[in-house]
Amino acid sequence: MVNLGIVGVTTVIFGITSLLLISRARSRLSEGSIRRYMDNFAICLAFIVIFSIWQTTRSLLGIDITLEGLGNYPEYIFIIFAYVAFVVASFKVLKVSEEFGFKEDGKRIDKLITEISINSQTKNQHLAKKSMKLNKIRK
Amino acid sequence: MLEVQETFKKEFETFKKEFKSLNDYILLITVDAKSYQKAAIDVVMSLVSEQNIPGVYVSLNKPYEIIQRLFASNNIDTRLIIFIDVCSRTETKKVENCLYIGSPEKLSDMSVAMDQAVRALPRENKFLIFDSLNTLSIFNKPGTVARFIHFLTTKMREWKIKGVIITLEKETEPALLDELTQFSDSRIDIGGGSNG
Repeated sequence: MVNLGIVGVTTVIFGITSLLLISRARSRLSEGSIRRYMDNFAICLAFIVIFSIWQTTRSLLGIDITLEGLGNYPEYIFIIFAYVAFVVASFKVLKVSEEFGFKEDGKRIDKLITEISINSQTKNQHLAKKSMKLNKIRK
Repeated sequence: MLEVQETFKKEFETFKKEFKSLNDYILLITVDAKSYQKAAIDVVMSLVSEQNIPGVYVSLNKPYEIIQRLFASNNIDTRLIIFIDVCSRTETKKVENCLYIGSPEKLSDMSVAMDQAVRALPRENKFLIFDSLNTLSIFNKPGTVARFIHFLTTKMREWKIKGVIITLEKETEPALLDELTQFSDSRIDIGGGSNG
């Protein structure tokens, strides 16, 4: 019981510290996609922290809170909300990666430069051959 | 006007000779309004058309469509460039080889976009042109702009690229310009001022 309490309190401390860190990070960012992603992430974390606080308080004080129709452990609603928020946040990350991901452009440009350098090499070789022929004719 | 263009070409050629052996540098170009467009085109032409170097073009003044048209009319292969359009008022989206940021106030998004675009370019030899710094000052506080300049120059060193920052001299705060000159390897002034 005491051990569980220690684990619970530690979890809550970690959760609140994470929320404070996110809040500090968010305040430094200007409006945009990255900040919106951070908002989603903060919501996910907030639900988990609420769940931890609820569970820790309940286990330390030995209170059983039951809500009609929600079973014996209503705090699990927050876990469900957290997972829903995680899905939304993951979807947002996917959108951000579509917007800010340039890997394909990089590959395309690399291919293009290789093509350009091969073309210019062929062109130079062709010109060299042509000038050699001309020199031979002149001689 | 022609005289100004010739001066720029001369100075830029001298700069190219001096920095030919270097893969990475930071060049600050201060221009007057008249020679601004020509200067930007000349720099891109030199890097893309003459040297076949791929790069990133961050535009705060003109929309992607206009720049693309302008570059195409000057025979610049725009396929070698990743554009970051900060001036078009639209939601963040990617079309072809351009990422629309939506607003010059979204500095965090701009920073992430620049970082991702530069890192995506496969070759060691690459460039980033920031056009232009004075527009940033219109939309952001002086302190924020100063911090952004520091970030940009530090990142340019870290990325080991050819970094070119263009700004209108008259529209840029002298203190900001001094700071930027201090961070740059060379400065080219077009339309007044001296070489640094």
